[in-house]
Amino acid sequence: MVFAMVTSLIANSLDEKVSPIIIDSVEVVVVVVVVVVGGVGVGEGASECNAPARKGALTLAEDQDDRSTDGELMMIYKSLYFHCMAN
Amino acid sequence: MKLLKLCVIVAFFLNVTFSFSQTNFSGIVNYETSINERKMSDYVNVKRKKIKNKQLIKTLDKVFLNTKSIKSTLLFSNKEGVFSVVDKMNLDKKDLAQKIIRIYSGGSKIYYYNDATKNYLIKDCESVGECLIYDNTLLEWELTQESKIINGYTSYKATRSKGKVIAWYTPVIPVNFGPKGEFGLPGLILELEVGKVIFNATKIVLNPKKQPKVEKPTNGKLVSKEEYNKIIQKAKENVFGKGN
Repeated sequence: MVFAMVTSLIANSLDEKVSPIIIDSVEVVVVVVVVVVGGVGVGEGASECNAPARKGALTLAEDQDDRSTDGELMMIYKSLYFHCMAN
Repeated sequence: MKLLKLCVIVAFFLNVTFSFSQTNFSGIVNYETSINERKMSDYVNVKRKKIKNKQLIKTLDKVFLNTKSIKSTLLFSNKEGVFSVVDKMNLDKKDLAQKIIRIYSGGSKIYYYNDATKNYLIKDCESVGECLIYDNTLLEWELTQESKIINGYTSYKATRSKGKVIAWYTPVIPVNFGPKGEFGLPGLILELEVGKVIFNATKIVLNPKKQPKVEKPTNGKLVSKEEYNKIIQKAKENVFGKGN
């Protein structure tokens, strides 16, 4: 069994696409981690988890922005994203 | 009779003031965080209707309607204080809703206050890939005369950020700290509405036998508030794009 992992880092984002491919008797699992350029606005091609995690984080994040609540936004996004990936 | 009453009241306040002006004034305050009912109704009646993704609605429903309260503690001693969340997520490790309300309550952040040196710090090890320690800025409060009794203490309402953050503090306990990095009021914060949650003081122990240990946060990269904001902004732009 041959496992090949191709990781393509196009930009700094957490959008991931996992594509398993099986060729004849040799199983080659190509895991392509495609990191999509940008963030919002690149809806197509984004993983199933990224868009809802982003939307969820923006809905859940605090609505006053004066005590560095962006940090909280990031934590909520990560929690939603990894929860989605694990399920 | 009136004069006697007045003397008793004056003596009481002098006694309280004297007790709290002792050099070793310390205490432990337990808080519990729950979802603010106003925010819950805003979600149910407005925001929920605009969301199309069913899985996301399921998750948000859990956060707004099914979370248990989160415990946190403020320790103070000799003009120093530290606030942190107590719950370590043992049983609720996989429970996303509990995880979110824990983040609302302060997450793993440590909030340090020092009135003597005017040093107020936040240690954040969760938002990006490293532990950052940065300055916590004093935000201006608007004091009001509105009052209510909380746990037997007469408390006064103060607001900041155009009324978005509401604190109830008691001047009877002259400690200028509160939950989740809030400070600068002329008394201990017993109730705080911030973001989607509300903190309620559930237990107050003044001058406990064992003096609480308040430690300044260490083991992190010291950055200014501006640097911290830049780091977080960069991480945010990578995920949400510019302009969000």
